[in-house]
Formats: sequence, structure tokens, C-alpha cells
Amino acid sequence: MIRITVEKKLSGAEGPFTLSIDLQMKPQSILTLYGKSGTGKTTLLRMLAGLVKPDSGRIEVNGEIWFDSSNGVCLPPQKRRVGMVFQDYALFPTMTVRQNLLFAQEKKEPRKVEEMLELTGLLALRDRYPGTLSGGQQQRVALARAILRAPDILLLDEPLSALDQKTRGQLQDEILKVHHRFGLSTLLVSHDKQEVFKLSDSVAVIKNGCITRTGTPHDVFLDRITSNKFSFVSTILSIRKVDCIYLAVIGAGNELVEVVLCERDAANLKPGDEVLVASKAFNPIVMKLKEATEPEDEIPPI
Amino acid sequence: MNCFSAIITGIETDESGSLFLLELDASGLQLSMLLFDLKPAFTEGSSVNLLFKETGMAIARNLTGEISFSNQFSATVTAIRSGNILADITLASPAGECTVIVTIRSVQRMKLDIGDSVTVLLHASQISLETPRMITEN
Repeated sequence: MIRITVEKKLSGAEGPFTLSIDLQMKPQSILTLYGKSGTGKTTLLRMLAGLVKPDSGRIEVNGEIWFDSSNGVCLPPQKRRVGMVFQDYALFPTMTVRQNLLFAQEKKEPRKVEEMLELTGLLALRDRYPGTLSGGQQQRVALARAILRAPDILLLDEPLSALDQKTRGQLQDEILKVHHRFGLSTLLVSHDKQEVFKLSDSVAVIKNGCITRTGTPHDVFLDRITSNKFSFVSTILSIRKVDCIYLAVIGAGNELVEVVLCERDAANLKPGDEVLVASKAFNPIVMKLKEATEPEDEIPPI
Repeated sequence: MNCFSAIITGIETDESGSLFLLELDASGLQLSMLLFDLKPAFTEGSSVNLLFKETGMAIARNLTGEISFSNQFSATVTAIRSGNILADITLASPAGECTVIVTIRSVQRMKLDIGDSVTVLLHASQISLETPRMITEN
């Protein structure tokens, strides 16, 4: 279990405020901090990493005390087993992919680096320099490097917000894969509801330095419990009138779907609104596809 | 989307405990619905919202004989908005107002007009459930 109870005075864009967090995280789960920028999410991550010192409080990670203001305990960053991935990759530009990974290891184990390169699909890029890689590839390297340290906690600070939709989707899958494969405890900062739904076991909404709600993404964002089997959260892209009904175009991952709305629905919805699209398990039609071949528009991960 | 308030009055389940048939009371209308994996929030006596899509239901006039729709209730036509192909028909029922989308051909064949009494037909599998909306600060 990871238990975080910290306080720190911060100065925000709208004046000083107190970051006051009381949070528990189950091991091997993904917890997302969701909130506007400037509410203290990144500061909280930096406190966990030991880069920012709380004014008071206690941080306990799997039974080990990392910080305790009541008896002066404050482990330095290098003593905390933390993996961090930021929006801006933060790779060493003069080192190859492989060297970047090797550098992260306390005890140099080239074999483990090779395994990680293979697992994350980076083997072909091992001798390339970060500057020659795409954003998605660089972030994959940053993720591999963070995991290589076998962290007690993986901290992801809006790691995918600079990437395009498709790459973001692929890297979300990648994060889920390595999270489960290595049984990591992951703390993610995100302001993308779709991402929160896809990745998180639980979500904590942070507002003006305080956590206002915690729960599963469904509990927190939908504030009611629905009985539907198939559902996803997305954004309405457009609504147009067709005869006496309306057709809404809604993004669903990389695909677009059209959904029929009636007058009363359309009156309450507009493009840009975030919505839950749901269907009962009884409704979808399932058809076998022809013999599986390589999908034409599928771009390989690297 | 149509929405009726109701109370769960009965829960029946299959042997494996994954398929449920719920009996519901919506302002006196006895309805039933099917769903999988009943969440703990839904128990006998719970207040719920029943959601059903305007395009997933049917209406009938002078209905006779047996029909497999689990849910049948009377309603009165209060408005008809016509397009070229489809019509949006507003109905008043004991459980509240609801809307159904049918083809104009059906409206003409049934000679539907405002004030007419109809029977609303709704499959047990086409109803979704949600807890009543709570007012929260977020």
C-alpha cells in the first residue's frame, strides 16, 4: 500500500494556496490524478520522487517510510525507487537508446536492457539517438527507462499529451501492458477523460490543492451507475439534422461513429460535449470477418 | 432518450447468477427488463431511472392476439412531428412523457392523430438502468 498525507503551501496563478493531500493507493493499480493545471498535481509527483519537500506529512511506500516530518525522515531522490515519465521525454540527446537505458540502471545489467528493448519493441532502434526518433518512439524509450529501475512507484506526468491521437492510443496500450507485466503501482497525471477511463483503476479529482472526489472513473465522472454493457466516454464532434431525427458524430478511439439522437437529446447536447455512449449487451450485431489479413491502414508500432 | 422513474419490485436470476430479469413499477405501470451483472446499487426497493431509446420501441392500435413484447402499456398521442420519412411522436403515459420514432408510412397506415390511444410495445432487452441522477458539485 502507498499512503500519502502531505501539506505544502504553494503559489498559484490566482494567489497562494495549500496543497493538502490524503491519498491511498493499492499496489499494482493505476491511480490517476485528474484536474486543471496549477492545482498541484505535478508538485505531488515531485514530492513522491523527493524533488520537492512537503511542509509536513508522511509518505509511506509498501511499508517503507520515505518522508515523515514528525521525526525528520526524508529519503533523498536516489534512495527512492521511482520511475518518472514526463511530457517532454527528458532523454540524454548524446546517448543512444540503449545507452539511455543502461544509464538508468543502478547495477548495470545489459541483458535486462536487451530484454526491455525487445519487450517495448525498441530493439531496432537501440543504436539510434533520441533526436532521430519520433515523439512516440522517444516516449517509449522514456517509459522503458523508467520501468528498468524496477520502481516501487511509476509516476507518469501527462506523458502522452504531446502525442497525436493514434500514437497516444498505442502508448496507452503499451503502458497497460508493462504495468500488468511488471505488477507496477502507477500514479498518472492526466486531464484526458478518455485516457482516465482506459487506464485507471481509480481516479482522484484534485481541485485547488485538495482531493474532492475519489473512486472508479465511472463513479467519479458519471455520478450515477448505469447498467449498460458497452460504453465509452468521448466527445461529440458534430450534430446534424436528418429528416426529423439527428445524427451525432462521436469519436471512438481512432474511429468515428454516428449515433441517432432525438429532438430532446439534441436540445441538450452540442459539439464539444463529453458524453457516455452506451449500448446494452443485447444490441450489437457480431459478424465474422473474412480470413484475417494484415489490415491495410495499420501502421506498425515503430 | 426516454426516461421513466421506477422502483425495482422483483429480481429473478438464472442459474449462473449473471442474467437478471427485473420487475419494475413505474408510477403504476408494471414493466420488466433484462440485464447482466446486477450492480450492488440495484436491489429490490431501489429507485431507478429506466432509459430506452425512441427508435427501439413500437406502438400499436387495436392490438389483439399475443405478442412477445414483455412491456405493453397504454399511452395517448400528444404531438406528431413529421419529416419526409420518419415521424417523432410524443406520447403521454401514466409513467410520464415518452417519444417514439416510426416511419411516416406507419403513421399513415395506422391513421395516427393527436389524441389517439395507442399501446406502447417495449422489449425487456431494450431498457437500460441507472441510479437517479445525484446533484454533485463537480
